[in-house]
Amino acid sequence: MKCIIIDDEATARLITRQMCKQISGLEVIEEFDNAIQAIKYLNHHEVDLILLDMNMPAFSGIDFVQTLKHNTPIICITGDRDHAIDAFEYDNIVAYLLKPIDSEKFKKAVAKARNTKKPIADKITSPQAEPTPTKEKATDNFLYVNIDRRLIKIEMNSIYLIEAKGDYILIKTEEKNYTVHSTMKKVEDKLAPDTFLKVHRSYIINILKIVDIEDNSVLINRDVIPVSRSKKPILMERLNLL
Amino acid sequence: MEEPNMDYIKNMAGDDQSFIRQLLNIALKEIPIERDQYILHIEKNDYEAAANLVHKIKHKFSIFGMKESYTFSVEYEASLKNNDASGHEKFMNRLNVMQDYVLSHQLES
Repeated sequence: MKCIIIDDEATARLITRQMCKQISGLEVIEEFDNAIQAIKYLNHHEVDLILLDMNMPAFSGIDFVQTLKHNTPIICITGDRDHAIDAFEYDNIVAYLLKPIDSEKFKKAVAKARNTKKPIADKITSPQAEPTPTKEKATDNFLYVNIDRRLIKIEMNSIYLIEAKGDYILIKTEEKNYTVHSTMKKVEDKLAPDTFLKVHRSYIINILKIVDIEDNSVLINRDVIPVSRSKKPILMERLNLL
Repeated sequence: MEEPNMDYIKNMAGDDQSFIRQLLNIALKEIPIERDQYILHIEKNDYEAAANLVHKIKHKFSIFGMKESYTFSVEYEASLKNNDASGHEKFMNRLNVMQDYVLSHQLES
């Protein structure tokens, strides 16, 4: 049984690796200190189990689960009980373990993962199940944002990416980046729905600025952005595919 | 103040002494970095970022058997998210105890 470890803390990765050593037939083939690298690896490699830390900066364990293309069994490992509620919404999460990991609980979780049959087809939500938002078209070509009590005008077409950053959003344009105290929902309502698409709960992209698409990520300008399983069909529908 | 211990680490290592050495080496690299980042965030009043560091450090308290410090950190992390950094000094004391302990054991091993 081949597995990978994803955890931003080296100490935690070493402990998880040591746990794995104690289980016969379980082999750690790779470890990652961030989830985006793991997603890229999994686009080209198949594994039987993913050992995933939930609390990581920038791209969390839940972001990873939402972006993952295959329903590979996952054991979530975290120091935060609150994440359990989110985690159990996903069928491929077989167990949720609190740090520091208890070896008996870990053994049971791996046994459970072994007995989990990997679904043949990917679970991709159909476009009908999650329709493209039918918001009114934005009539203005500019977006005004409040930064340090100044209203700053941003040309809508120059925006290529909007990223969620906690209580803030980061608006990226070809010339400059703007950090604004707002929410993804609020900014999404202001954008032209035919040009912008929320491809992930933390990312809205300008589809006209896409350079290329590879499996479950898009290259936009120089940023590689993950695309959620449920958003991929919507994105593909919007493209002028040959 | 509670004393750290190696119970959890030794239990996990079994006969594998190299695991203990490796873990102490890594912990000794990670703890000062996380400590410095935490202090920097506190100085900048960026309590949300400081809370994320406390989250990481509390895991190490539990590895080194510091149960009280772990419990304290859980509460302190929540306080920081509510912009309350009044537990800073106590947290630093606990963190320093752990760092000294790891350093002394790393020199021994």
